[in-house]
Amino acid sequence: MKCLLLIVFIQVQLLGAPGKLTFWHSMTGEKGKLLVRLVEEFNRLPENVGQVEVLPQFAGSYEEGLNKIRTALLAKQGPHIAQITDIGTQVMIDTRAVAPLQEFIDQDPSFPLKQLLPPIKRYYEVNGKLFSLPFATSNPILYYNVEAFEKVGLDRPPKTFSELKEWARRLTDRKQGKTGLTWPLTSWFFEQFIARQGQVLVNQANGRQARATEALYLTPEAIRFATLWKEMADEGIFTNVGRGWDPAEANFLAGRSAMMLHSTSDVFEVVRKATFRVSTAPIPLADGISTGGTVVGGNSLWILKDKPRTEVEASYRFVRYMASKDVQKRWHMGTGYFPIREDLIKELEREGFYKKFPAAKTAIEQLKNSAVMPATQGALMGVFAEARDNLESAMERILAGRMSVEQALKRAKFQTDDALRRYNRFLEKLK
Amino acid sequence: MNRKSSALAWGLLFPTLAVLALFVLYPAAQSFWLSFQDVEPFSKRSFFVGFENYQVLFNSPDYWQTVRVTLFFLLYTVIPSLVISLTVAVLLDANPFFQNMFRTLFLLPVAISSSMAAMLWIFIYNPTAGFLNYALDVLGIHGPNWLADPDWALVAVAVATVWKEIGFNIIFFLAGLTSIPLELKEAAELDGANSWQVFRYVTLPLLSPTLFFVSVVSVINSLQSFGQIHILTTGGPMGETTTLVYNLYRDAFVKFRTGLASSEAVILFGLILLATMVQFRMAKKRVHYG
Repeated sequence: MKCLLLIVFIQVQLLGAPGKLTFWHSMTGEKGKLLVRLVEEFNRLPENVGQVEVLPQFAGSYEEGLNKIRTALLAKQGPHIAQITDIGTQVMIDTRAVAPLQEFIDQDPSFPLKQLLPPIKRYYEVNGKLFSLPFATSNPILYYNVEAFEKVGLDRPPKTFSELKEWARRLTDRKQGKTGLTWPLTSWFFEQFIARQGQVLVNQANGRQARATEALYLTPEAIRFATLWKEMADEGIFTNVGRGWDPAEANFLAGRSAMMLHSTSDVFEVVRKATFRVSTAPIPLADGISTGGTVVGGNSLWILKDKPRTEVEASYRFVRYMASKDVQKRWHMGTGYFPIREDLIKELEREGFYKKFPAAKTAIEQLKNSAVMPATQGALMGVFAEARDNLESAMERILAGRMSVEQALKRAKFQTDDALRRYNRFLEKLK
Repeated sequence: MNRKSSALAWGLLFPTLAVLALFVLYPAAQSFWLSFQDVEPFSKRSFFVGFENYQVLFNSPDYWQTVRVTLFFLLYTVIPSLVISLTVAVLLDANPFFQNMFRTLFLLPVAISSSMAAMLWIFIYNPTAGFLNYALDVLGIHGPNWLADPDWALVAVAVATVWKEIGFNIIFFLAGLTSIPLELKEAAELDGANSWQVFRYVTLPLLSPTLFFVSVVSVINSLQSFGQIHILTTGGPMGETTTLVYNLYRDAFVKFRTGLASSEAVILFGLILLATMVQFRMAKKRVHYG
């Protein structure tokens, strides 16, 4: 009898146990710590205690996280919620394993859809449907060392490609091993500068009208940017630090390069760590071209559907919490990713936050000033990760002088076109 | 063999055969089949494409680059690893006094996991803060950025690999050397042979079975190297350290092209088989078993 009671007791305990939701993310360092704190606060909300518990798990870098989730989905062992890089959007939809956010929003008038900044919404909407919550959004900006500028008599940031080159040249000090400019070797800047010139990255209106079938790496816009990059590296006024985001930042913070292109997502960290005054500016324009703009970067939160109904609904409540004004405010002020909500930006302006930190305002202005067109909406393709790798290895070969700009871009185009062809063939053959 | 003992033999072999069939033979057969398929990245559904995967590989300049890289990696790892470990083993064999201590020292890298070992080498190779360039600076040489320089990265990875492998080889060579009867060497010395001649005409022929075994294992290990490449360079810069295995990994688990990766696995299998067959052919003439 005692035994039976015990069993009943355990059963009741199990029924009352909180539903555990796994949440895979890719945030490290201070961003990772802040994210975990935000999750813990969600767990401590009165309505969640004893009901829902979100367990954050680090899933590796953006690329690793995307691979991990694809492998997990094959074995039907995915998490409840996943933070996925911006360029994973199309491939996540194609897995058919996600519950589109739009379906929850349509049922829930309390979701702050109206507050979502239009460029962010445009980026993450596919066929008019919002699939995931843009959680952390970023933009490329130009960071510059104000003291180094003053030393050579420069009083404003460069606005065009030719000014960028001219400024970098003046800031270079060969004797001291200092260059004028650095940025991480990533395809992201390539994509951004093509959009900045109003050109799309892939055909079919950046893959937004229909599936993209061709990478447009040989447009004058693409060649112009790659050539600028190559010329500055050859002249010794640009420091190539290779792939990865951290080396460029370390280089800039050590005062070895006076200007840096980087993501806004580190703006507070850079300003705090720098031993010199740092200011930020929009990325420069190609000479004589003023159309176009920048594309939203960052990551979004996805809800996976192959879970019990109650758990999927709880996942949605968590995602909605991450879109709340309070969470977005702390996330923005703690990292530099910009707020996704218009009401929050207005609030911060009222509070005088951007007067205190003008560096954080640059990206928001830049994004707001971007023209509304397919180029700035950002490209969609299922093989984006591979396309990036192809472009990055092309840039490596260009900078090392192993291939000409045209040769290397042609090679990257060939590789990406082939990947697109194979990817699209599946969609046709296996419906 | 009578029926009863044959049944017993099969019974005893069964567990091993079952495990091999399940975890080696079945996946191998599946790879072979998948190499003629294109597999959807999100499911296991696939369709027949004939030789397309192989065609794609043979027409791709990148794949030929990985073949070249693999052959150079083989050259940079197997030969130094054999020469160094054989030399060390012979020296240790001649000095029993130091043997225990040095044997342990040389075996240490084997005990460290390959990812840990690679992490250590990252520190050593760091262009500005690493020990290697510091040591070179002291000698007045400006060291390159080892892991990011397309001309040096493969050599750097090979050095880390050899360092990790020699301990294992030394143990085998030492065991082989100890089993050579001392009388034979003494007899040769009495006949007036100097120490090089003793080594060349007595020790080496008697050591040939061990040498053969170690070289076959080294070639296979080298062709299958993965951990150190993944951690040190992830195949870069410019694909200069992307070997056949690393390319296979990227195609299978980064680009999700299971069909293409399977055909690479089949090619790699063929290559290892070929290398081993060539070694056996050579062994027929040169290896003396007792």
